[in-house]
Amino acid sequence: MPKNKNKSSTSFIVYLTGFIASALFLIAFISVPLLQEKPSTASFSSVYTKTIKNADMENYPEKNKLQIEEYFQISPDLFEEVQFDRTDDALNANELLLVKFDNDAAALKFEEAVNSRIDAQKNTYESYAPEAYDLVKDAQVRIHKNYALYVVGSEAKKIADQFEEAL
Amino acid sequence: MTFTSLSFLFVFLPVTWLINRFLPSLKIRNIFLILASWLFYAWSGPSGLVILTLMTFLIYFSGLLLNTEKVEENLARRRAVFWISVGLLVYLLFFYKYLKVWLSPFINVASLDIVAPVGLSFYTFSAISYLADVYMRKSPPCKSFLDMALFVSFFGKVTMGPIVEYHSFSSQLSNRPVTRNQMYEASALFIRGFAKKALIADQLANCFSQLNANSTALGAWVCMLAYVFQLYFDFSGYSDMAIAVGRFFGFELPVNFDHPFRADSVKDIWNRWHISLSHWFRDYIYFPLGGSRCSKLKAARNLMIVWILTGIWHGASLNFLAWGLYFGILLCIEKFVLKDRWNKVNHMARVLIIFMIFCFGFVFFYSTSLSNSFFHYKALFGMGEGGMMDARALFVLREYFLLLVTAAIFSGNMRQTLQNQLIVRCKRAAPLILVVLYLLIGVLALAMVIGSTSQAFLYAAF
Amino acid sequence: MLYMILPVVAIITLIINLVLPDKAFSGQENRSLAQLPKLSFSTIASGDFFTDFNSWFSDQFVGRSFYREMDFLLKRGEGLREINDVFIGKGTLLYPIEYNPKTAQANIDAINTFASLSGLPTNVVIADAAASIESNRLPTSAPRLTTTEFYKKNISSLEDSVHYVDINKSLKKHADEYIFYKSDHHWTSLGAFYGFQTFASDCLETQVSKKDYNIMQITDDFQGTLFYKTGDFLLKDNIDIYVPTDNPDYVVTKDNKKSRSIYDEKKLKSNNQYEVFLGANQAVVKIEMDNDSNRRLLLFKDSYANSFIQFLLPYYREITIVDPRYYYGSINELVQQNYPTEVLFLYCFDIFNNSDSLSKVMDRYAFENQPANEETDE
Repeated sequence: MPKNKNKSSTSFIVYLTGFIASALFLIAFISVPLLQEKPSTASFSSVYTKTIKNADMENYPEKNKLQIEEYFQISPDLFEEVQFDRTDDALNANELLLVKFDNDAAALKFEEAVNSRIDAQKNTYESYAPEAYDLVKDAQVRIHKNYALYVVGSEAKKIADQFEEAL
Repeated sequence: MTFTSLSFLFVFLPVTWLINRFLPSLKIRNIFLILASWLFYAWSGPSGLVILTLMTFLIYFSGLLLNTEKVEENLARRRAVFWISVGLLVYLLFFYKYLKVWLSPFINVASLDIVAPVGLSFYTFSAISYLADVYMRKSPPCKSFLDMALFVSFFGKVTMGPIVEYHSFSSQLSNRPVTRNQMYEASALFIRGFAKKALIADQLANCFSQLNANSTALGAWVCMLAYVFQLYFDFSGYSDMAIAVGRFFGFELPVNFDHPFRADSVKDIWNRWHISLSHWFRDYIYFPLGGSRCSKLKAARNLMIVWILTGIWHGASLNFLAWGLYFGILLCIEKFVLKDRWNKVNHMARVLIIFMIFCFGFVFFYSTSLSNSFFHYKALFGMGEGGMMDARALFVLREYFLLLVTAAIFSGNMRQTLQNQLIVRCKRAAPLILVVLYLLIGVLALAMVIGSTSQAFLYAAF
Repeated sequence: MLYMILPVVAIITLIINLVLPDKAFSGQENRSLAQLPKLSFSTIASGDFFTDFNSWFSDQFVGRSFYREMDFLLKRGEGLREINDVFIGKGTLLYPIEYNPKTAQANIDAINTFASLSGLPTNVVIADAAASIESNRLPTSAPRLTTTEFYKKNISSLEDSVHYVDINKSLKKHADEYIFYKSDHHWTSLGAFYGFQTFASDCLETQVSKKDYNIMQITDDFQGTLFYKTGDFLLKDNIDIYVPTDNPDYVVTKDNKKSRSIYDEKKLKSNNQYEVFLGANQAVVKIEMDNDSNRRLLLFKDSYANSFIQFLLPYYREITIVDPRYYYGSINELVQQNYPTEVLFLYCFDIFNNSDSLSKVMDRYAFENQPANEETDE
């Protein structure tokens, strides 16, 4: 009789522990992603340098930030800092846009503008320049609390990953 | 991974079946099937797999805990364990499906990145069924974690049902022979389900989407009919494939559809449409509330509660609640007001009227919101902006007329009738002809699946 | 029996799929095909591996082009007459009519702006949509949209100094001839010829007929943009070139590369044979003729003009061709460097209504040319 009771006590504790642990893990798992991201304290120039490190920037000459109005239909005044790199050759799909901002509205506008740009570029290249089309299809868009990046190119993913590490 | 994806049809399913067939013991088969199911589930989103496994652990430990002496003898403790577990599962559903929609008027939810894991509604209900079966002492708790995992995650049902109740499934975990006849039936069923989805449902979806915004009466009617048939062939096709897949591995999954358009009363509809869901609500909400074995008022209340919940289960927005209320109220009327008088109406007339009632109810289902529902209802009665018809509605009807008629015919018993006729007329050649026909249909369905995997050229290619 | 055949067929298909080498590009779909995804912890954790695997397996599936053709036949057989917005008409594919009054008007305003600021004689040709000219070839009961509003409202708002050439009457007259490709949204060289005939009599004071050209068929298996949109593999087109009998020698300069022909024969082996006219879309192309003409043309165009240019060669000394969709430079520069004597805007209805690059380019032009002491209200 005592042996049974011991067995049932241990199993009770085991099951209770398992029960509580699963419950806690479940709650933790769904709550964690909700925690808000903190803004990055890195400086704009350091973020930019680290983002493009070791990448072949030959196809990304710097452009005047005022021209993002023409390409993306948004005003550079929305952002604290802007870096826009692109050639004049419209048939070259490579482009890079890095912005720093201090409010969520700017992030939303950036996302909208960049997605429209991607759609427009796809429109332009489809059926005529499949290689350029593929590059645009794999465009990287990374939006964080106070920095955002949009990059198209053969090294887009690498550049985008380096961007996130730089934050 | 969906059942109609090429990765499933030509990689996952045949390889899993082949390995399963040559494994020596049932226990090893179970372990293998769990791993395969987890891989299948992870294919649609690895983070969902964490939820699935944590949920499995939760109900596993709950079930065992409920059965320990310390808990068993104390009603308060039993209740606590049960309701905490169920509460957690319901909270999961709330968090992933309803939080954003219901809380959006009160707090800023736009920045919350919440994506529901595939099939959450289905396997959560399976999990709740297990807890309830153990709590109500319908089944002993599952002692093996492996069996528990297989019950929750079996890939044949994890993403889209049928919702399996534990007490009817548990014995199959330890014993499920596969006979040749079963395999033959299952193969045919698999192809039929596949054809239902690829040849009919997916094509009607195009008809529906073209007329969804159409405000003419013709457009609204064709849209409604296209949607109802699309939904039926899509869901019943998928359920057919699920049952077939289950049978390939020895499982008998519950039937989900039984010629719903032959229903001759509202109650009958729900004996024939998404049967596993109706049964779940009946067994775990309706009966525990008292069912109809109580005062008429209470019985009506129970019905309405069930239907409000059924509506909400399908979606978070108000139009789904309206859908649930629609059928709940109709059922109450049928049960408490009309009673036997409805049965005296001519059968054919009943079937037609019920079909119309069904279609009208589902307008709430495919509308995106309550106001969108009213847009559709207005159009159905010719009071929409477009009037009675326009060129687009006529054109789409012309294009899809053949398909709609085919869908209507084959939602009855046509397939079975044709098959029987073939067997009668061709006698010995019939089995061979049937095999050739099934393979042909399979190839056609495959062609349409592949045709839909092309990148949609949505932009002008100038 | 069925239960034995199914797994065997599935596994054999799997093996064949694994054994056959992967293709990089699909001619039938004109896009690159997905390749084998990388297997790593991060690609699995993010779920990318699985979606990429699905794409890879489906893109490389054995017999894919055959199944797609079967899918098209099934769709057509069951009654479908519109795929991806393109109509499957009677013996031809037709691109839908999309009238965008705002875009159209913006482009018209752009033309007006240019004409007034540059002061150059300006002609405008806007070819009507194939679905409008060949409307009797639309599938039965297809919604029939018209382009009349565009021509009545927008075209009439062109300044009086701008000369609009109506080629559509002539196109309509010849609608039963092969003036539009069956599988492509462009007009054929015959259609361009009829358009040129009207333009020549209107602006060049010349009457031309087919006798003035050597007409040569250079391909009979052209499948164009509408083929890629619908998958209708049953229709194939011929491409003819019209070489004027009195054609001058000329040099084409594109992208700093020079050539002696406006026809790019290499394109006949490509997926877009229409590019035989002038090659792939370019921002600026300059053609210099060796003739006595003292006329220099500045041509703003979309791809419709590509097959029109062959007719223009004998009449100009120089033709500078600009496609505003790809040109991000300065129009002022273009005008100053090439000093044209006249301007032609040659468009088709579809692009004129769908692309506002013309108006954007002219906004820049207006900005560049605003008088120094005036404020713009932009």
